[in-house]
Amino acid sequence: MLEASYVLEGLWITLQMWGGAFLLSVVLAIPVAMLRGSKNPLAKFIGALWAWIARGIPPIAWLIIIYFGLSLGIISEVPVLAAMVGLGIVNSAYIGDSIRSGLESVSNGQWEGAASVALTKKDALFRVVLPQAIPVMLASTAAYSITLLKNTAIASIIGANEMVFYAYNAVQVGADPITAFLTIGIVYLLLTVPVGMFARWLGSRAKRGSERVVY
Amino acid sequence: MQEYLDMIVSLLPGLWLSILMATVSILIGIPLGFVAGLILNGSNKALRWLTIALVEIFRGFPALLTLYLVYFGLAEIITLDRFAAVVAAFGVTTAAYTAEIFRASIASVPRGQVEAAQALALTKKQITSRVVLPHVLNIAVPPVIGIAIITFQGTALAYAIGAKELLGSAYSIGMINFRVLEPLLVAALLYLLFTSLLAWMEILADRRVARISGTSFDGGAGAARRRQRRQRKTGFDASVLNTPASKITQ
Amino acid sequence: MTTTPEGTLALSAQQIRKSFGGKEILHGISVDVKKGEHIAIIGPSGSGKSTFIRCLNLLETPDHGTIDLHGERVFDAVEKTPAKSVRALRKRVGMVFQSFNLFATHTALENVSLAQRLVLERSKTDAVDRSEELLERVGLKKHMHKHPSQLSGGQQQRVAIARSLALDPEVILFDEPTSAIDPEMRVEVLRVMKELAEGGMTMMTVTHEIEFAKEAADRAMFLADGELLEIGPAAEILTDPSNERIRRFVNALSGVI
Ligand SMILES: Nc1ncnc2c1ncn2[C@@H]1O[C@H](COP(=O)(O)OP(=O)(O)OP(=O)(O)O)[C@@H](O)[C@H]1O
Ligand SMILES: [Mg+2]
Repeated sequence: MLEASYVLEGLWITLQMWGGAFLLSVVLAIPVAMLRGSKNPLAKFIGALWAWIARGIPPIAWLIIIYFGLSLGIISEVPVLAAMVGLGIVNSAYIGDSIRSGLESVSNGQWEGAASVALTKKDALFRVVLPQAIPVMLASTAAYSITLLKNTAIASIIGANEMVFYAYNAVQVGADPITAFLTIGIVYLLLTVPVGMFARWLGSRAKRGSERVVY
Repeated sequence: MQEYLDMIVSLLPGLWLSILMATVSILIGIPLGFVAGLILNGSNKALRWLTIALVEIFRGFPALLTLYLVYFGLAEIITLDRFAAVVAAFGVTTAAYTAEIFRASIASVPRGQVEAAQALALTKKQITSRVVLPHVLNIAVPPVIGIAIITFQGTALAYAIGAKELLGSAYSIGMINFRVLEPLLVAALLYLLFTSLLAWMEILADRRVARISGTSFDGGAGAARRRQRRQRKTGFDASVLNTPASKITQ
Repeated sequence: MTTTPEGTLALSAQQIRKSFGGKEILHGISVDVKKGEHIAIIGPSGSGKSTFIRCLNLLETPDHGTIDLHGERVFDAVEKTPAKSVRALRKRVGMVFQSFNLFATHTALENVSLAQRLVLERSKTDAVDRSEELLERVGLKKHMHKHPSQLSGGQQQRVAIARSLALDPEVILFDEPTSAIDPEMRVEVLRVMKELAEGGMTMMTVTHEIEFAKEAADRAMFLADGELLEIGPAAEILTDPSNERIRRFVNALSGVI
């Protein structure tokens, strides 16, 4: 039998990993987006290389490498931390894309318009472009964060005591697998469905906003 | 050097198993996803709601959970070997992911093209197979390759139920030699190469779509990206290693 | 099909009515089209021109009325028309759309061949031969392997005309065939249509091109608010309209204030 208290405890760990990995991915994604957007070919290459590697290796492989393969002090000893770092790395590539596509969604005319009234590049970015780009970034970031949330389940494989971990262990000691895993599945749906709706709402809002700007 | 070559050779059966798992999952998932896409565009309300529910469930469940559900859950009912469990679980997951792509692709067939086909006295069946289907296949290929990437990477989760696919065999080789990191890194490199191969195919397919229909699934974002690449004024142009796999959000 | 004596009607539509969502758009429109005749359909936006012409090949099903082709009853609103009869009618009545509606995934040649293969069940070589001939006729043989996205609007519309001709229809309906085309590209489409009309094809054309209608159409019918306001010789009606409403419309289109 999978006890409710375990589900709640697992949920708390799931949420911690979700939040921690998300914050880490944003922190990583900003420099990555800046590198990729830079004019310097070397910087550009490094940024692209990061995104390529982060995305090209399966999340589970990242976690196993960090937890079993490397010795990064406490990170490689505490599964929850290893998972946060691994998932944060993977997600940083996606958030980096969000940032870039958000900026690209703002038409060139906006930069030119800002330049035509003699705004500095910095002012153009912060006063003109970002206010239009951020709604677009938020929409795709919200969508990616669903993938991130679901990926936290992988942390159970390296022993992080999140929801799937408790369900798995309960099953190993005789709980009914269908009930146990379905229970956890429902908890995931309770999280992913609203976030998905929120992402779609952000997306439709961002679209309306950008249309207003373009015409 | 020789050591690493040996390692690669010893990982090849694992890589082969990963590819096989991904291929079978995709071959199961795509037809199911296509049927789901048809139903989502159809007029049968009950069937549509059922499909929406199934799609939301299998998109909302972590793939690992679906795998456990199939492997441990169904084991109570029918005997299922690892391979069957993996392809069943990832087959439905792939179906759920592609359903939305097919739904949108089918919905995107311009009404006028169907009307033109009607005006030419084509039957309903002919319109579906000769006008709608080519359009859908054309436009859905790039995002479906994006899903194939997710499915391929997802097969690494089979490690969790002890399958000797690429990740699983890298781990066991490491355990045998007491050197865990190297085989894992070699496996990671192989994943990276394969993912890149698929991502490259996705880019080619995307270009083909743009060439044929003048637009693409993402409403011309691909074209916008290409245009952006040419316009380097903003200082925020697209980069050299562009992976459109990123377009798939979940 | 019985052979038609000269001078009989190619198409006769009687009392066509059509409503959308309870609102009647066409209030019983009748027209008789002689074999080889070209009728221009003129009228303000929203008057029901497209709806009427779409009723004639059953892309919209009229709520009331009948359609005869060469004296044969092909549609009667009081009976349900089986899908097979609908297709039989459409085979005989071609349609050219304002937005071309070429099959985007097919080349020009495939666009023209498709219905020949599927509907006429022609062999591939026969269909290709005929398609090449038709594309030659509309001046596009050298573009036959291109996809629609690689063709200009005027070229796409000429492919669409060839596609429609491929079924050897008895009547072709055109719904604003040049409205979506850049002005300088229109003339090539209009030229093809004029040649068709002169070649004896029975045609009905919704158009805002008054000069073209005067020159290439035998009669013009003016629709307003779902009613047939007037029908008569095109040159007469469009050059010096006696009806005030038509005069204002024609003058506005010609840029006369
Ligand atoms: N499928 C439909 N459902 C509801 N209303 C429709 C539909 N098709 C046409 N209508 C309405 O019928 C009226 C006539 O439309 P129609 O397209 O036939 O006009 P038209 O004369 O072709 O105009 P235009 O010159 O703008 O093409 C319009 O008020 C239109 O809104
Ligand atoms: Mg119209």
